[in-house]
Amino acid sequence: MVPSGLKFTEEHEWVRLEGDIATVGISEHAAEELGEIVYVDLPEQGRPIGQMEEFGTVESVKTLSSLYLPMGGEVLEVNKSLSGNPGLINESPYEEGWLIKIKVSDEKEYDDLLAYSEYQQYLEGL
Amino acid sequence: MEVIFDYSVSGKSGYRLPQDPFPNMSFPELEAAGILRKELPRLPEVSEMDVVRHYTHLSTLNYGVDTGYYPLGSCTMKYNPKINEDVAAMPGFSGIHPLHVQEDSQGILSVLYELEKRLCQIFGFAAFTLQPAAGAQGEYTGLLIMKAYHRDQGNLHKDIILVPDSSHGTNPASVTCVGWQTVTVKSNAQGTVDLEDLRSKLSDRVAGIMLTNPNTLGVFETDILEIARLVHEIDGLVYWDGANGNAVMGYMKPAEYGFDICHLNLHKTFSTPHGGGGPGAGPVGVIEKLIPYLPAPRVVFNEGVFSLDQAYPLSVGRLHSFFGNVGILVRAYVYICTLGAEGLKEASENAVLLANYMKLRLSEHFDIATQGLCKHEFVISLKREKKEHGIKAIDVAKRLMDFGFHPPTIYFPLNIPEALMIETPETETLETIESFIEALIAIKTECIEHPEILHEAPHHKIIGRLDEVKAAKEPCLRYVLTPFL
Amino acid sequence: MLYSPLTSRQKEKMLDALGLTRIEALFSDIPSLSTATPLSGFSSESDIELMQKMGQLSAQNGVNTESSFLGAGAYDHFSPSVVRYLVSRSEFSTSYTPYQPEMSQGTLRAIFEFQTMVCELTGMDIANASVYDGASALAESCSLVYHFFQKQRPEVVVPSTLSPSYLEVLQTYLVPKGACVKVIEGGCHYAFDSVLFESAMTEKVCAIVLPYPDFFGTVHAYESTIKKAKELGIKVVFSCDPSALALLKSPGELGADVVAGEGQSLGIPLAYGGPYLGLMSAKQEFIRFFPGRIVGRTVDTQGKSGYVLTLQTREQHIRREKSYSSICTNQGLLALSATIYMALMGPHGLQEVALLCYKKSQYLKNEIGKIAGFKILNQGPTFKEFLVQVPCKLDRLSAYLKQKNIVGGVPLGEDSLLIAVTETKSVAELDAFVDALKEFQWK
Repeated sequence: MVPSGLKFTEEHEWVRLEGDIATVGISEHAAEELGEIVYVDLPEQGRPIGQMEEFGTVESVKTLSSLYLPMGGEVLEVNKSLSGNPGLINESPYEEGWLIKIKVSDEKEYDDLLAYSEYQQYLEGL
Repeated sequence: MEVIFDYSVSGKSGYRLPQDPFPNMSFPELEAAGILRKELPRLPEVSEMDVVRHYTHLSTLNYGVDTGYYPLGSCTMKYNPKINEDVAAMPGFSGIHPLHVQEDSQGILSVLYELEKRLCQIFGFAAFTLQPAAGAQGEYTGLLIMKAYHRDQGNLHKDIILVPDSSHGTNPASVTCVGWQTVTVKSNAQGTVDLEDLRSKLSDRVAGIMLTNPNTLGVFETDILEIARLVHEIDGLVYWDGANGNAVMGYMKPAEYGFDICHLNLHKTFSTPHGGGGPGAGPVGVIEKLIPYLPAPRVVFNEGVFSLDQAYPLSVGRLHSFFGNVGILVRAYVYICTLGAEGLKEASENAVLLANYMKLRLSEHFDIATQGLCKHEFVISLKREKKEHGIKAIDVAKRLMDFGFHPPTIYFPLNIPEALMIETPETETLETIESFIEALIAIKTECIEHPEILHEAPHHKIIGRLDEVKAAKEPCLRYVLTPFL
Repeated sequence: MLYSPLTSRQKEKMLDALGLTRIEALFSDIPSLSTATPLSGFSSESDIELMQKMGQLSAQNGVNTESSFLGAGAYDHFSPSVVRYLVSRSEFSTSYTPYQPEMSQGTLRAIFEFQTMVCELTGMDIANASVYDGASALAESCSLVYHFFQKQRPEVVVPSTLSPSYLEVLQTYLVPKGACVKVIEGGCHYAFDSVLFESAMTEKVCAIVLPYPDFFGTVHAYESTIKKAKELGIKVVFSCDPSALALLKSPGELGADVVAGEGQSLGIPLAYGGPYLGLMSAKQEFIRFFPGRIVGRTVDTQGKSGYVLTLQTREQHIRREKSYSSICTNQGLLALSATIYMALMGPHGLQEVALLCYKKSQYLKNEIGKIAGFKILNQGPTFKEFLVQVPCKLDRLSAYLKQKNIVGGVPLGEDSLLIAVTETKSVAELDAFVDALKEFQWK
C-alpha cells in the first residue's frame, strides 16, 4: 500500500498535516524492522516539542527506538489505544497505529520532509 | 513439576534446627509495637529430597563451561579451575567475618594485597581497588575517579565521555550514571576508531575516552598511542575497558600505552565462574596520580602487618557494603598463582591463535566483519545471508544448539548488521574448535538448501523458541500462589 | 600448558595455516614501545604448593576457635549442606547469564522462584534477579525512585540509624546523578527521631529510607512517618534483613513502596564481606524503571511453558545512554543459593530461625543489661542485634574477651559494642559471654 498525503523523516516517522494539526506515526518499514512493538512511551498533552526533538520511544522485545518529531509544536493528543495494544503500530502503521497529534507552530517545516517516493529512495540506499 | 512451589505439601519440611531453649519467652515488645507478622510467607513446604531432586533436575536443563564450548564473544568463557573453588571454600576464607579483628585477618588481607600487586604487574598500573563487584560497577568507579580528578584540576566544564560505536552498553550507561554525556565516535572500515571523527569530537568539554582494546570486533586499536596523545592533549583521561583483557596479557600493559584507568572482569580473564550471571568482580586500576581518588578502605602493609586504611580524604567513596566480592578475588588470585607470568602470556597467545585460525577457516564461508589479524575474538556478519536466504543471526544461533553448542554473542557489536561474535578461550581443545567450525559450515549449507530448518531451530532442545513478545506484553514475573489455609 | 590443552604440534599446524612462523607474529598489530616492560616477576605454582600456601593463609584467619558475636550487616547463620552441594553443581556454577533460554531453563526457573520468594518475604509485587549487595540494592532502590519522579524531587532522606557503609554507597550512587542525601540525626545517633525526621519530609523529597531492623538492631514500625510520606507522595524505601521477615510484618504490610535487602543472612557464607546478595523488590508501578535482570514465564512455539529474561529494554545493553542504572551482572549463584535455602527452610523453618535469633539475642541482652556498668542503648524492641554501652575503653574489653576466645561484637565509637546473636549460638556460649563480662574487672 502506498500511503497518500504523508511525508517522512530519515528517522522513519511520518506526518499527515491537516490545517495546523499534524498526526505523527512511524513508517511501515520501521515497524517491520523493529518487530512486534510491546511498549510505547509518549509525551503528556500540552508539552511543547521542537522539530526533530525526541518525543518518546517505542520498544520491541530487544530494541528501544527514539521517536523524533517531524514538525515542532504542542502535543494535542496521544493515541490512547496504544497503551493497551501497542501492536496496532505493526498492524496499521499509517492509520490506527498513529502516535500523537501536534498543533504545529511553523507549517513551513512541512517542506523539510521527504515525500513518499523520496523516502523509498532513501530506504534503498540504506 | 516446573518450579519448587509445585512440590509444596503442607506439613513437609527440609530442615533440622535446634530446639527452642526458651519456649516460654514471649515478645511483648514486638506485640506492643504492632510488628509481628500474622501470616507466614508462602514459601514452599518441601522435603530435603524434593529440594535435591528438583535442583539437580534444573541443573540438567542448563549448559555450563563444564558441559561444552561457549563461543560467546567478549565473555571469555574459559575453564574454571576446581582448585580455585577448594581454596575459596577453606574455612579461613569462606568463614571469616568482614569486621573480624585485623590481627586475626592477616591471611585474607595478605591475599588481597598480593592480588593487587599481581594485577599491577600484569597491567602496568600503579594501584588497583578490588572493591567493585562487577565490570559495570568498575566502570562507574573509574568514571567517578575521572570526575574527582577533573574537579581537583578545576576542569568543571568537562562533561563528555567519548565512546566508540562498537562499545558495550555499560559504557554509555555508566557515563549517564555519573551525570555526564556520551558522544559516540565512529569506527572506520578496519573496525577501529576513526581518527578523523575522533579529532572532530575532541573539545575542551571532553573529560576522557573509554576504549575496549582489543575492541568488541576483536581488533586491536593500533592507533592507541595517537588516540591517547590526542585525548591527553585536551587534558582528558583514557579509560581501558578490560573486558577483552584475555587477548593481551604479556603483550600490552595498558598503563604503558597511555591508559590512565582500567577495569578488569575477573570472571572473564581470570577464570572465576560466571555462576549463571554472577557474582563477578571488577577491580579498577589507576596510574600514580589517580591513587588518592580510589575507593576506601584499601589494604596496606606496614611493619609486617596488613591493615585496612580508611584515610583517603579525596576518595570517590564506597561502592560495596564491605570490601567487594572477596570470594571471587581469592579464586582469581589462585588462578594467577597457578599460571604465573609466563602462563598468563601463553593463555593470551593460545586464545589469539585459536581465534585467528577459526577466523581463517570460516572466512571461506562467511563474511568476516574485519580484515587482518584479530585478537581473541572476531565478528561474522550475516547481512548477506539475511538478504539472500532470509537467515538471521538468531536463526544460526538457535541452529547451533542442535549441534550441541552454545551460540555465540549475537546482534553485538551494534555497528555490524546481523553480527555473530565468536570468542575462543585458550582452554578449548583444537578438536572442539574444529567441530564447531564444521558445525557452522554445515549450517551455512543448510542456509542455502534448507533455510526452513534454521527458522524453526532449535529442534532437539527440551524447549522450542520462546514467545518473548508475550513475556514482555503480559509479564508473569512470579509464581501465582494461593493463600495459606 | 597449564589449563590450555593445545599441543606444540597443533600450534604449529595453526600457525602454518595462517602463514606465520612465530606466535609473536599474531601480536604484530600492537605497536612496539621502547618503554614497554615484560610481564614477569612471578612464576607458576603447583597445586600442592598452592594448597599448602593458601591453607596456611586460611589458618591465619582466626575463625574456628572463637565464639563470635560480630554482625553489623553480615551474620553467621547456618546453611544446610544441601545448599552448598547443589550450588556447586557446575551446570549452575559454570554457566553464563541465561540470555539463550533454550540452554538455561535451569537458571531461569530458579530465578523465577527466587523472585517469587523475595516478593513473599517483602510483600512487594515485583523482584529482580538480584543486585550486588545490600548497600547497592538500597542505592539502586533510591535511584529508581529518583528516576520515577523524572528527577523532579531531588532529595532522599535517611536516618542516622542506617548502616554507615550503606549511607556511603547511597551517596556514591546518588550524588553524581544530581540527587541529595539528607541524613537526619536526632539527639543520639542510634535512635530514630521520628519528629525530626518527619520535619525533613517535604515535597522535594522523592524517597525516605527506613532500615528494618536498623543498624543498631532496633525494630520500628515507622507508623507516623509512613503515613506522612503517603500524604506527601513520598515513596517509602525499606532496607531490610530478610531473616527477620518470617517473624516481623513485611515491609509491604507496613506501607513500603520499594524494598532493598541484604540476602547474606539467607545461608550465604561470610567470606570476608562478599560475594553477598542484593535483594530488590517493589510495587508494580516501578516496573519500567526497575534495574537488573528479570525473568518472566511464557510459552514456546508448541505452547509449552518456559522462562526467559524479559523486559530487557530497561537494561543497559539496550538502553545504553538512556539507562537509569548501569548494572549488568547480578549475583546469580548467590540468588540460587538463597532460593535453595528458602526452599529447605520453608515458611516454618524461616520463622523458627527468626525466633531462635530473637529469643537468644533477647536472653543475652537481658543478661548483659543486668551487669553493673553495662547499659543497653536501644530505645525499642530489637531483633537479633543490640547496642551495649560498656564501662571502659573498648580496647581493654576486647583484649580481655580475646583471652576468653570471645569476639564480643563490632566496636562502635569510644565505648559501645554492637552485639549480634544468630541461631548458631548455643545457650552455653551465651552464658560464657555473660560470665566473662560479669568477671571483667573494669574499675
